[in-house]
Amino acid sequence: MPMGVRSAAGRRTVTAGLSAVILIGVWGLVAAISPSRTLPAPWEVATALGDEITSGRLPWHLFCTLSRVSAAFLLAMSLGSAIGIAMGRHRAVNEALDLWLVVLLNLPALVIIIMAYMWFGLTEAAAIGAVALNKLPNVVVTLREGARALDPDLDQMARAFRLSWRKRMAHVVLPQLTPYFAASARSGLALVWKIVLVVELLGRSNGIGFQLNMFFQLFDMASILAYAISFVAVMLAAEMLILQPFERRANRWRVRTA
Amino acid sequence: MSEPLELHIARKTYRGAEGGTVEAVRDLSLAFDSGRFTALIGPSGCGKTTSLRILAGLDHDFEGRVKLPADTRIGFVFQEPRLLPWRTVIDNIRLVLDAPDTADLTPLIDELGLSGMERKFPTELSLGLARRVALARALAIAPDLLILDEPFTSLDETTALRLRQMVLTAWKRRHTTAILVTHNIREALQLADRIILLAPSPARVVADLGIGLPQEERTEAFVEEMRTKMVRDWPGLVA
Repeated sequence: MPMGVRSAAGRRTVTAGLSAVILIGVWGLVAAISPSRTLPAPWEVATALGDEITSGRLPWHLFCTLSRVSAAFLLAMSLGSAIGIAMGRHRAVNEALDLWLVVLLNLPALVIIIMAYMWFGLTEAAAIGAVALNKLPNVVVTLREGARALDPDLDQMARAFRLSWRKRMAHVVLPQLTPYFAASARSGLALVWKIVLVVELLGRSNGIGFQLNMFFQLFDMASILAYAISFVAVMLAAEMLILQPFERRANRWRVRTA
Repeated sequence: MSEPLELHIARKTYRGAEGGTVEAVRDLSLAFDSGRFTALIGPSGCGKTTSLRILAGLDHDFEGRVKLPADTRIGFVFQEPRLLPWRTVIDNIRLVLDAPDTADLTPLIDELGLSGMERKFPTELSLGLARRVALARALAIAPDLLILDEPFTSLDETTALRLRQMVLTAWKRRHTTAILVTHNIREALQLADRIILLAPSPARVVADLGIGLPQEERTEAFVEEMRTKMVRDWPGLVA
């Protein structure tokens, strides 16, 4: 029923838009009633946002941050998936790495970041590596669960027909893991960008995190909000334009109930 | 493939739920002549499926030996269709081919009555259709050995009958070695030219019957007569 889906999606958009308008309205009202440096009105934030965009500062720092986010995200996803699948499929690998996994899972992000900077210097590689290492254990845990839930019957079928390792991975194993990829990508993107800001604040000289720190020193709330909002908007777009269509495509074989 | 396939299982055990071991098969020897259609009949739990899995090289954890040329192409039809739900019918069949782009699957698809279904996903198919796709997949690789592990269970008799005809036609055309595991003595009598009766715990061969009459000449009366005779001779094993 394409019509039903379309109208449901339309309704969702309208509801989301309406709630955003209400939020901005309440914000403007509160800012007008009690003017304060720490709560600038929406139009002041919009002005700050406009200035930062036209000066080219915001696009540049956004670009720096997004590059770090994608590098760390890709690194954590690919490495974490490989380790997680290996741990889920092979008992020996699981036993060897389980302790490390628990340690990494419980190590605070800040500790990893500081250690990376102290050992490898205030470099780009240390920054991205630290972020990836923070995300890595979550990917491993999710994908390990996925690999444990793989259907042994399909595995046996693949072996009976002598499918090559590549075919088994690409067409039998990975499609079963799609929901687990989607889940860790979702939570991963959200986690990674938050940690990237911390990494930038502590040891980089560009990026949103660096800018936020600078505006914090200047006590410039309008600019802080301008940067935060623009970044959230970008991540929302990534979710809607990349993650969700990918998920829909991967799931198109599931039974469509009328 | 002219050498007979041989399977000797000295001992096969499974790890039980409470840590002990459960013996599934002990001292079972089977030989399958090439080009023949052999049916294995026996009660549940007598190790038929286990033996087939060992023969197909899916289970190496046993004592004994398997004589099977290394390059044997095995077409396996499992108890459940075991199709990949994210691939269409045609893509499920293509997956197992070595050269999927050059193969022409139309004759096979037509023979199994699957034309028009190529773009459907397995979740959209009835069990009977899904079993046909599983059969098409096994036949598509032009197997040297066709293994059918209770391929027609939980189908209505009409559908099962049609599928048996399809198997028979395909087998006649290619003259592959075929092994069928079943509980259904009528099914075995319709399809096989050799029937091996197995008794459980430990699995052993009770009888080894050849059926000389060509499959297309076997009437319902013939099948019934044979069945009655077998039920009389081996009560408890044959129903």
